[in-house]
Amino acid sequence: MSDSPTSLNRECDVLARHLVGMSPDAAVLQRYASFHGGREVRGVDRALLAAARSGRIGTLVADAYGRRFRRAGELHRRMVHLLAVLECTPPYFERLDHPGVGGPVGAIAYLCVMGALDVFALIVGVVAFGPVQLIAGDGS
Amino acid sequence: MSDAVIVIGSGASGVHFAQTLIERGRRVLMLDIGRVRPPPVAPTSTLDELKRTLDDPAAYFLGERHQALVLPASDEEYYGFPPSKDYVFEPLEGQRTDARGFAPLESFATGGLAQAWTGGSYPFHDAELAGWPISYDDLGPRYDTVARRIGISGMEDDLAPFFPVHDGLQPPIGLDEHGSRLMRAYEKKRENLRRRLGTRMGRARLAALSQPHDGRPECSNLGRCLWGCPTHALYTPAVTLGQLQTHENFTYVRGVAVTELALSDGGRVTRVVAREIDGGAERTFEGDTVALAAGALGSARILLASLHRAAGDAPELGGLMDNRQVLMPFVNLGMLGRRFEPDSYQYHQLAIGVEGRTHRDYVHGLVTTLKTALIHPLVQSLPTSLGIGARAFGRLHAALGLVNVNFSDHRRDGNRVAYDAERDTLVVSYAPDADEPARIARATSTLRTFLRALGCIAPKGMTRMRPMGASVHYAGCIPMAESGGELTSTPDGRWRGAENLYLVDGITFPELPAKNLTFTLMANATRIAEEAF
Repeated sequence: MSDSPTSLNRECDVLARHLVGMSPDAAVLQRYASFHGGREVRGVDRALLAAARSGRIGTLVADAYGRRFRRAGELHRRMVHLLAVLECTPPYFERLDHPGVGGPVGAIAYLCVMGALDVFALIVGVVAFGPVQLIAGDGS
Repeated sequence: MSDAVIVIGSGASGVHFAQTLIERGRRVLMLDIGRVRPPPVAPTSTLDELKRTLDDPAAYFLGERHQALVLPASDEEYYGFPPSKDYVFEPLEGQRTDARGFAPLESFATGGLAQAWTGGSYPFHDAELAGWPISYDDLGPRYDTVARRIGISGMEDDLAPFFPVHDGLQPPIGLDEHGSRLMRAYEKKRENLRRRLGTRMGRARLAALSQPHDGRPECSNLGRCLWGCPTHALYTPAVTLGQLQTHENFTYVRGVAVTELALSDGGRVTRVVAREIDGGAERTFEGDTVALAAGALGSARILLASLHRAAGDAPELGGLMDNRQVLMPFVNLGMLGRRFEPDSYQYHQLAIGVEGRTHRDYVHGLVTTLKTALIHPLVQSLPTSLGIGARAFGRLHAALGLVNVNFSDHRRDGNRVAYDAERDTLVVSYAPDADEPARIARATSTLRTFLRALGCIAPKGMTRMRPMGASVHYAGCIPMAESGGELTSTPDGRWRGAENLYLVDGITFPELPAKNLTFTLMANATRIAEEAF
């Protein structure tokens, strides 16, 4: 899979919106591209990255699947790196550190909704990516 | 020959040994590799202000080479040291160590390993000193002295049976909301918890100031402890070194690595041989008395290399010790959905003591509530996808905490330090005690029950055992004893192999209780200086 500057920028934008709900600025895009550019990606990792680049729902599903079945895979690696950059960088860190909070009851309700969404995304992910990983062997 | 005492190393032991000698009118020549801490960036800014104002905050927090980035499945610990503390662990060319069962960390920084400590200052009590040739009566006054020098915050509370109370104790630093809730929950159940679990909780003893002291300000809650306190409210040995350098009887030679103590047949160190870090030129220093304070491993390296050069062979040193540490993350349900406090003291503010049948079974827990630490190592360990985890983390953040559980260690002959002369390499081998898994299982089970009683959940799957060596509480190898051979030291710290060589760091500790040893390193070095000079 080619990692052209355009595709890396597109990928960084989608992933940043998935992680903090905001598009990345030029400095984040540049840091992301310089860290991940030039890596060869194959198998199920390639499918997961392609799905993630496709948009919000694709990212949600690819993330849910990748977290469980390709934890050290390329998508998860890129997302962790981007999260690390965003948590240090204004204004993104404020989204992560100081979200709207609603006390224990609100938090538990929020966590339940998020948990249900995650389970749903995982089910879709298993259907979509499970066969790809089986066909690709170890998926690497 | 100079009448100055040559002190090798500027860590916690070395600077307090030197300060005591200076106070007693002696002259001191300190030899040190001395990697220097870079000046703190924007020293009055809070952590959030740093993130907002630095040109490249990601480079500051993650490092130019992304060295603080914890990637998935990397088998790393939750956290490493931040890039601003790289200078503490920057390796020294030519200084090689091979280790089995042990992950040794050595420091060549000005101030040594304690430049990266978390300030826990816990005196050993008499039962813990039972295997030593000295008692609390010998160390107690020196704890007082060190506490008066550096300033320690804390209070006499439920933990006093585990930590003797000493002079120079400032009031505790203001407790954050999470810590306050834990304390309130504990106070409601303390009798039951003490009786049922033998467990007590109280305020941590910290070498961090709640009041101005000796030219240093009180903690100003910048939230930057993890990256290195920019105001020196958190004590590090470099503070004392800076004070010593203003004294006319103190000479500091930086940029030299001691390679050998030349030993005469008559049992004396005749000169100290060192090589300059820049250029490698050899230098020699002569003094009537020499004190090794290079840390347990550093001192062992110098001593074994010296013995090898003197006799063509060097013995192996048994009895290396370190505190095993286990990390127990927990969630305080009462703190879910609340805001965390970034502008507050970041290291542990509470401590837990779990009684044991003997002092060796005592377990010491340091309770840290999560505030400004990087979150990406934790988000990826949640059982959710990363995007969901990142969004959910904001609701969890203030509720998260960590107990760093410390276990005691004792000397065992199989845990050895040797010197391979052909490769000029220190060889370290360590194996834990056979009963360690059972001790850890027992203690973590007790602490999990204790935390549950305080309204917290500590998921079993998130508890992690740190590798041996990670706590950097190295000790043993040449224990102090009332009598013994060449591989022991006298109770006043003199090595039995040479009449003018003192071992003033942890290498002489005969036993290692389940506590941070740094405060005792400073007190013991002070004691040796007072008794021997």
